[in-house]
Amino acid sequence: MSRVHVQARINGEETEFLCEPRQSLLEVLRDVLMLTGSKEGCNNGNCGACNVILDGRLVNSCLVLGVEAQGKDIQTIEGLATPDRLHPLQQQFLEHAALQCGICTPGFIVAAKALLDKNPHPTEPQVRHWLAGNLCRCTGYDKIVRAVLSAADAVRDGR
Amino acid sequence: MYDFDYASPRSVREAVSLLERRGDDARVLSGGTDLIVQLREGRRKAGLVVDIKEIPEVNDLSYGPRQGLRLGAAVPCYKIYGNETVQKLYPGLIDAVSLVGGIQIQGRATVGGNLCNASPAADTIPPLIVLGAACVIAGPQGTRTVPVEDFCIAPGRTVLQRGEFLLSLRIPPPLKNSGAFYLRFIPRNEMDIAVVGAGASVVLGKRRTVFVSARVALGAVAPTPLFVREAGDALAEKPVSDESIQQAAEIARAAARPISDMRGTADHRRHLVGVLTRRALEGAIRRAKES
Amino acid sequence: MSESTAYKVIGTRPIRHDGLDKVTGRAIYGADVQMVGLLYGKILRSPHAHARIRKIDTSRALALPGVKAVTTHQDLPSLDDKIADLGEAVVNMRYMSNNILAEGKVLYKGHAVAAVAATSPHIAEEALALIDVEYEVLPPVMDVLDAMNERAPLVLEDLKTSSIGQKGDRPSNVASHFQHKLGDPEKGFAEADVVIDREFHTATVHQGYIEPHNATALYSPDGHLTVWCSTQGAFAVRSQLAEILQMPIATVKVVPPALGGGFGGTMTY
Repeated sequence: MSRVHVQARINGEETEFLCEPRQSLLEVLRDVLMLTGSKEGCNNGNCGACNVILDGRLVNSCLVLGVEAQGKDIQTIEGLATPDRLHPLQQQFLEHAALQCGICTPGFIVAAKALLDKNPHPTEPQVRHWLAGNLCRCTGYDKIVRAVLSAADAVRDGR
Repeated sequence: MYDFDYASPRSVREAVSLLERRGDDARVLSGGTDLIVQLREGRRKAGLVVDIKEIPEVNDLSYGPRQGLRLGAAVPCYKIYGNETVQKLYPGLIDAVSLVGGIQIQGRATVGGNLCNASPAADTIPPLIVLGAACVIAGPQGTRTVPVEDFCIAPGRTVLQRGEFLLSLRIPPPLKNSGAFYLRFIPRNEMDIAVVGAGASVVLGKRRTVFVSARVALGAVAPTPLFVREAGDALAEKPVSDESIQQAAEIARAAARPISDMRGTADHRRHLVGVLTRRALEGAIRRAKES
Repeated sequence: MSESTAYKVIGTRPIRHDGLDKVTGRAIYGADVQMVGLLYGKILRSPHAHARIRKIDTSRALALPGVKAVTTHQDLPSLDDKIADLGEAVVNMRYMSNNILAEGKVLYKGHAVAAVAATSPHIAEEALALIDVEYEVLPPVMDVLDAMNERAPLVLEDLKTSSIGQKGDRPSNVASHFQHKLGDPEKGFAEADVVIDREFHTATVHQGYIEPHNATALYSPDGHLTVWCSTQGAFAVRSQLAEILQMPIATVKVVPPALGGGFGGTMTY
């Protein structure tokens, strides 16, 4: 049960941690680094609540080992807003009432961020396709899709 | 989850030596989207997890007009469908890698892993079979090559022996007037496991009115992905017509040995094999005509 | 429509009061509660649908480094057939306690048999495999219609059917017989032009919220218990805890953090 020393860049900060090889990146974020914004839903890659961006790619952090984070760049929900300003996705989720219980929300916002990073002007079908790996049981997706499209517009208009 | 050691070898030789030493106690980690869940749920055990992603050869994705496509075992789906050469020359493979899981899974999951996980329903295996792909296996004795259709031997089991791991896949360069296509049936639009999957490839004559050869492979209708050689062979020298396509689809339907489970009944699956084989052949023909 | 501007809320698009915390990942859900010295629990569940528990040996589990406690039903207070009105439902406390940790018999596959607390969830999980339970497997009842058959194996050996305030005279798998009657149904059917008689079967269903069930408890040597628990019914959880643990209700505090869905399915614990 020896722990491994891992160095990674998390939300722009050089971070070091110790973890057991059997701990997922999600467990490391939540239980070791206290970044509890990434949620555990299914813990098997179905729900997307644990989504993070790993070296620019959207992944389920429950399906990544903490030790695999060595040398990687990781963005979590905690890294999106600045002290002065919410990310446009966060603002639009609020304004479109794209959340109720909120447990899926960090995953959806991180997933949508990965989409907008790659494709700043997605069409509605592209948004729906991209978010197929995220489950929400309260809002019914439509408001989420509208919030993402609106956030894309906000980014384009420099809002 | 039970405790395990983690190793991230930098070379094929180092990986082989670890795998040989630890035997069944070692598991190879590529994208991890199957392995990590299996370890967590106790469906597989490992005392050592060997992460192969630092080995240069498994990250290879290159094409040459004579050798064809070299696809490293640890290349994730998104890199494959993002590659222009693959898009142009192997659309049948793109069909499969763009529907494995969702975007999050495609960011990690690899074709090599899909193959080694040896699920009967694996989406990438039928298209690899119809494309004539071969597995390059590294082991203590050097490398050996096995056709993809012979790689899986039972659900979750492959031909890999102690000390061996899948290094890469080789897919021959596409012939003139050829095309391949894969599709599956799922009750959702995304994020699901195939009830039945069907892949087909065809080579047409110069005037594209006659089949030169064809291959058909099926998923989720037998303990392993099923290469239905006789369905493709029946098309050789036949005219490209609804009738000959239907005949091949009937042969595929007869070859399927499906079971009933939570995803569908055996009868439903047999029916789907007929429909999907026909559609896969039609898709492959369309691509061959466009090529 | 011009008057609509006169309203404070109607006609506006108010932002959820808990929205900001939820879009930033700052909202604290049950599993996000962290504290120093936190132990992780895992539950051993029955592999049998119906079995008598002959013996539970926890010694090997307790010997695993990192394991701090293993509990079975023996550690819970013994409760009478007390019927308690706990807000949402009227329950027999003994049955409820036996559902938390099985006493004597397991009544379904997945019935909790023992619980482990350890320094990591992984160690707790390893410890589960070290708990030795000796079962005497009994014939199960797998279907409601089979269960109503007089010769069906009895799940609860002392349960008698209650029907309009009357108890049956012998044990049965039928807990309650409800009757809803108005007027003269026999006459109504006799006079009806068409009588449609059908039987419908459905699968067992449960609400599909995303958040797994969870609870974090802090017990102090002064006898006070605080529980952070994802629940839609914090007061019901408090009453049940007080009853099951036989603690004065004033010493139990239940804190409901942000809840990851429920739709009625997380009404209690």
